Amino acid sequence: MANYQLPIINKFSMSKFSKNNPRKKIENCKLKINSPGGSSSGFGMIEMFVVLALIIGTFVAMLQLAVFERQSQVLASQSIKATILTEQAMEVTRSVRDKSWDDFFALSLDTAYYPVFSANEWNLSLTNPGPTDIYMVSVQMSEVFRDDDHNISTSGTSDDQTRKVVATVTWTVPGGDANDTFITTYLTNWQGSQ
Amino acid sequence: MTKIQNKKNKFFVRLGERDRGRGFRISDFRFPVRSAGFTIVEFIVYIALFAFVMLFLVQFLVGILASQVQTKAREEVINNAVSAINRIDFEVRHSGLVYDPTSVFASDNGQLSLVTRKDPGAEETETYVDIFLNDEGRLCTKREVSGIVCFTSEQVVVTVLRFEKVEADPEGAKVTITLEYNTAIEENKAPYTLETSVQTRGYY
Repeated sequence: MANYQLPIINKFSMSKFSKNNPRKKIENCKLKINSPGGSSSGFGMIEMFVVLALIIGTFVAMLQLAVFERQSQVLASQSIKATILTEQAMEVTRSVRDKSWDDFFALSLDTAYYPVFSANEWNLSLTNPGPTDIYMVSVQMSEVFRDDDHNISTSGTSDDQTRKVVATVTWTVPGGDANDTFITTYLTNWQGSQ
Repeated sequence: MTKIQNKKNKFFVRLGERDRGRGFRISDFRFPVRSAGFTIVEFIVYIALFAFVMLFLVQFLVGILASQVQTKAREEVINNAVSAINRIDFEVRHSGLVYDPTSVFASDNGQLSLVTRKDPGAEETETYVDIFLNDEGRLCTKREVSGIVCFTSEQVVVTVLRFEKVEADPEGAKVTITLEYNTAIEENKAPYTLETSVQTRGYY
């Protein structure tokens, strides 16, 4: 329980009361009040400023909350768009793979390629076409190795029927920080193996 | 002890016999006990501060409400955009072909017609699905069997639905869709664009 002490009037000058007029106004009496705060006056300017500061502090906190909520929503919307663009980049890579496995397999390894849509066809270009809106989309292929059990591993026999593909979207969030999202998958020559 | 209020709105205390020796407590009084009342300067300062706080409060609340409306609008638009792009993705993936004769490519009010084996009519092996905008700007699909079904909410309007055919094997479609909140207030429209590309896969 909190140590709470009610202010008690411990000294009251009855002499200020007229014996003939007990309804003497209390405000004409001198009261000494021992309050926990030690103040003997009523609601003053300092209390007013404290209350004002608390109110303004509350407003500022609520405003910061609203700003944070808005920034979070902007980041979420950008992240959704980036994820869908990443999926599109992977779909483009599949499309290139499906056109010709040999051409796809001949693409340089560990090099950034950029999806370019031209004449109703998707292609992967080494030339950066610039960002789509604020998003930079790229894909990178790398060699795949398999161990003796034919499982994918970091070393072993190079698999010429599989490529590891990483589709990446990078963008700059409000405030200047870079953000990215990526999808990693393995594409195989599924049509050639039939 | 009895509290009494006179015509001038000031408080008095009448002491009774049973109050002797108890002393006064501050809670016996409604107003702070001061040796002097409010001065006119204090009153004016208080009123000015109160007015300032109220003005700030009202402006703040109006701003918060406006922000909340915009937040709700953006959320609605984003949710519908994701739902719409997923629906188009689903329909294209489940189809086997893009049907060119009734498709409208390279238009902001485009239409994509697909040949699909999903949910064909009785004694049919395949059917046609159209993806288009209705007169209210809602994304809809039309099937030969089940008729028209719309997928976006009435609270949003699709302002751009653009299809471009992707020549590949299998073929596909590049889709651009822009939605905005269905309101006359420009700052609450919150337009949002998504773009994707998907190949037909003949799922069924």
